[in-house]
Amino acid sequence: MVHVPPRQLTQRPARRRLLLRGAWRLAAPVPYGLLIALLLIPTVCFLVLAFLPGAFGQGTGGFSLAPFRTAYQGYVVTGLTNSLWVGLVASALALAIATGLAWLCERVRIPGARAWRLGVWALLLVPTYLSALGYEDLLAPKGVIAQVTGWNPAALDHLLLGPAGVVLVLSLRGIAFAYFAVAGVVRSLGTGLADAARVHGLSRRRTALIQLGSLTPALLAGFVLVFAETVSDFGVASTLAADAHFPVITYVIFTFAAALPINFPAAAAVSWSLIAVFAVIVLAQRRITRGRDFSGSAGRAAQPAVPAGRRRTAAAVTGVFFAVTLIGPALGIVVSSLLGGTANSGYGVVATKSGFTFAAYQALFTSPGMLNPVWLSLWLGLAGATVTVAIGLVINLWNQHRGKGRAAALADVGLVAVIGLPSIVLAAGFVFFYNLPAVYHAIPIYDTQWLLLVGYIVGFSPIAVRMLQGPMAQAGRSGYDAGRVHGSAAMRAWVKGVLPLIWRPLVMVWVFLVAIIMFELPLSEILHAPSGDPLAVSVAVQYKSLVAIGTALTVVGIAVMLAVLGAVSGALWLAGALHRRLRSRQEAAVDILIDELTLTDVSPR
Amino acid sequence: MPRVGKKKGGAVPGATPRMHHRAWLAVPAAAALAVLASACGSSASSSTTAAAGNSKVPLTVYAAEGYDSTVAKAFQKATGIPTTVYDAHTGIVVSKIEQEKNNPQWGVTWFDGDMAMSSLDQQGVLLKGWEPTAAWNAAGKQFLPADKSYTPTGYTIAAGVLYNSKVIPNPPTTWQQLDSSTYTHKLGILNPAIDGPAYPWMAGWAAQMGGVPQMESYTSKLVQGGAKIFNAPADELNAIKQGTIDIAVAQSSYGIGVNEQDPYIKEAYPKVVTPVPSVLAIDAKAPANVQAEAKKFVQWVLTPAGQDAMQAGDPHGDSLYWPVINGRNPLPAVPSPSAIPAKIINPVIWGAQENTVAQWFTSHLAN
Repeated sequence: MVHVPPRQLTQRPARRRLLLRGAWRLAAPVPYGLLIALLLIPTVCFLVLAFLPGAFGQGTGGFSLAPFRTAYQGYVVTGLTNSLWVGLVASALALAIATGLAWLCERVRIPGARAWRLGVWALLLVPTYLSALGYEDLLAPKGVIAQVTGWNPAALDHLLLGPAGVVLVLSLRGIAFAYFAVAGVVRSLGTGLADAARVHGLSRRRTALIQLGSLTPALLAGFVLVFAETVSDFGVASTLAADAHFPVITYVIFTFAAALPINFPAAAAVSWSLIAVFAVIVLAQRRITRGRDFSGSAGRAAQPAVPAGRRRTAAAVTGVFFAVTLIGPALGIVVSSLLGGTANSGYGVVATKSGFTFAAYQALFTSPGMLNPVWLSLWLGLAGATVTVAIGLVINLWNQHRGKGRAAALADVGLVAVIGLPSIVLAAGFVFFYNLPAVYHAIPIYDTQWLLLVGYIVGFSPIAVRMLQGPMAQAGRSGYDAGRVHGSAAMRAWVKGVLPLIWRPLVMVWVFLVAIIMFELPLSEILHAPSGDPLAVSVAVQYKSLVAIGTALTVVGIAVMLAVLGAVSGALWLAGALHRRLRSRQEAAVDILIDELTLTDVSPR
Repeated sequence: MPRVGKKKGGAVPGATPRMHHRAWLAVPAAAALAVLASACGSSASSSTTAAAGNSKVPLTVYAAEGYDSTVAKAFQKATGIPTTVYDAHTGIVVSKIEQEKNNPQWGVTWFDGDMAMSSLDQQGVLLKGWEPTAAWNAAGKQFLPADKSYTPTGYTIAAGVLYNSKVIPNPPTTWQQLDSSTYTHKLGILNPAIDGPAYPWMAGWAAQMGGVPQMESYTSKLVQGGAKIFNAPADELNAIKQGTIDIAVAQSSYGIGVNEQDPYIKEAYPKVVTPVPSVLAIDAKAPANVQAEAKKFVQWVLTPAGQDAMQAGDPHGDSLYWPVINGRNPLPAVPSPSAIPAKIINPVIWGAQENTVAQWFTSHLAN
């Protein structure tokens, strides 16, 4: 028999526990760190050029600040200023309108709510360049209004080709982003706060403000998201803004990175200014939400009582809003694809005497391979969105359960910077990083569609993180904690206690990302494999000479995306119906059991 | 509480619910993997198969021509060499080549503009000292570079004027006429930092006006007189149709193609216009077997079959070029070159100034 000193018997397990806990503390952040590194390294590769212009074969010499001196002069500073104020105005407008729309469609459920939701999807799916083109067609000297009414809306046209037009089109796009960021939370926002406010005799205004206050995380997440998207938009920057000689920062970066003379170090130097801006915005957001608990009830909340007349009025106003906002893109599509194209010299798309022709669509469906880009982008969208949502979920869970203040703030700034930096910067970083001989041999994905997929995942994971931030903050972790207290394993506690509250936002963000990825252009243009063009690239190629076919391809892409949306909605409806049916069966079985127990004679004999 | 044990080689009593749960989880996981594989595997697998089936390695073409994909397919069919095309705007193609300087992935590049190609040549990116065998016509011989670093495959006019003949019955016959009150706020020009053929036309202006300062002064006057700047000819045409402008400076192939569909929009050639060749070049750092295939590609493009493919690929756009090979005729819509007052300029001299002019345009006029 071995004698064990009593000290060892008591201390060894404790020490082992401490060691294990220490090892866990050290090891647990590793996957998180790797994920962040995967997201950020290619971008950092590009940004480092601002200080090391000789890196990646772009020049000679070591550390230098010369790229900053080259970049920050004249129109670059103007472009940055313009982007900032346009971003702030467009984001504020988009957020205000989107929150109102979400309240009407998700809570009040005004007549036609489903159709208006579809309108929001339409705002999201239509590329900004098509909206810009449509509005130009509407207001031009020989545009639709002038031809139909004989009145030349020159003043409006002048307004459109300037900052006002830029803000208008960016706000419309931003509405869709903001709507999807706040809709889930608005839908599930409990009435407890409002009831408490009323019980305490607060005015309607203050009650509404209190409810709005509980939306703070979602509103802030939405604002940062829309701001980042607006500032990094290239569609409007290269059309309306460029035509109006209204420099914005995306276009400035584009001129350094893809126009002559190509100067990547200067593009990197300009990109740093955007990172500084986003750092300030994200830190402000964190400061506002820090230390406050915004969790409330989740799931579908009760519908507030609104008189039928007001509901109808709200529906009419919403209808007018969508008619005005969608007329631009609708005209863009009609003029470009059915009238043979506004900028078209293409074969097979000769307008008929009546002016309308479906020749572009015929060409698409009869020529072999013309629809391949749609299917490629659909697959990339489905795969990319799936991985992206998973990453968004993991990072939010980490922040919620294990995130430590400074590290989480730093990661947050990095992630938002990825959203806010123009895609062309991300793409250039990818080319530099994945084409480094060492990386190329270790991970040979350069010039394959895998690189594009990874690009989508990196580019859109931050969006998923931010879009899920609101719903997950709203759902809180009390359900998980309750499960753990009752002895459930961590995964089971989360699946049973939290997942039911956030699955709708998860699905919505997934569909949203499928749509965004399907129509993404700047990343796709640079990272796609030579073997096949994704949808947006194919459209851009067709636009060189066959605008009608390019627009028809866009329309087919939108139709496919709407079909995906319909299929997902159908599947959700079916799952809901099955769930209700199972539940009613269970309830019926319980009723029968209770009846049997009640009828059983348990009286003493 | 009973624990579920693991039993070798058989079902575990009481394990069904958990196993079922895992199987259920495996379905989306498998589906996700299938989606990933099907989305991304195509290019890699096709290249591998092609490479495994014979000794030919894949040839990658970075191009900005409307007919590039058609030509690549025809070449692959004719030679069996697996050929893929990365197609984008000239600026993006040049940008990608510059980004890949350390580890180039392309075999051949093809776009309009010997000046931009000459700039790449100055950076040592292109294979020198090799020229395909061809029966060059007079124009073709003029485009051949002294160091044999690239190959002309056809040419267009960098810029004529595209105009709405309903509004402008008599188009300008000289460039100086554009700087008159007739065209105030009605003229569109292209940004030479973005549009490939725009710089050759500005270099042509500089050559005939006495130098770059004179050209800059003239262009500034046009913009101060209300000329609008566009990034692509399609944007110019859109503006003409909308009535925002009535006349625009645009490449001949684009103008001729537009005229085929919209006869009232015509292309004219003021004195003197600048021809711009479409040029092919081979990567200096590519492996020997890729360079050998690239040479075959260049040689094949100049054959009758290659020229047929070029003319079939974008018949209302880039295919509307003048051939540089004896015995080849342009497409019927292309006018006789003898009717056009054109003068070829030296790509090495003017190519060296491209970055300076583009930078000046971006800083002073475009923003």
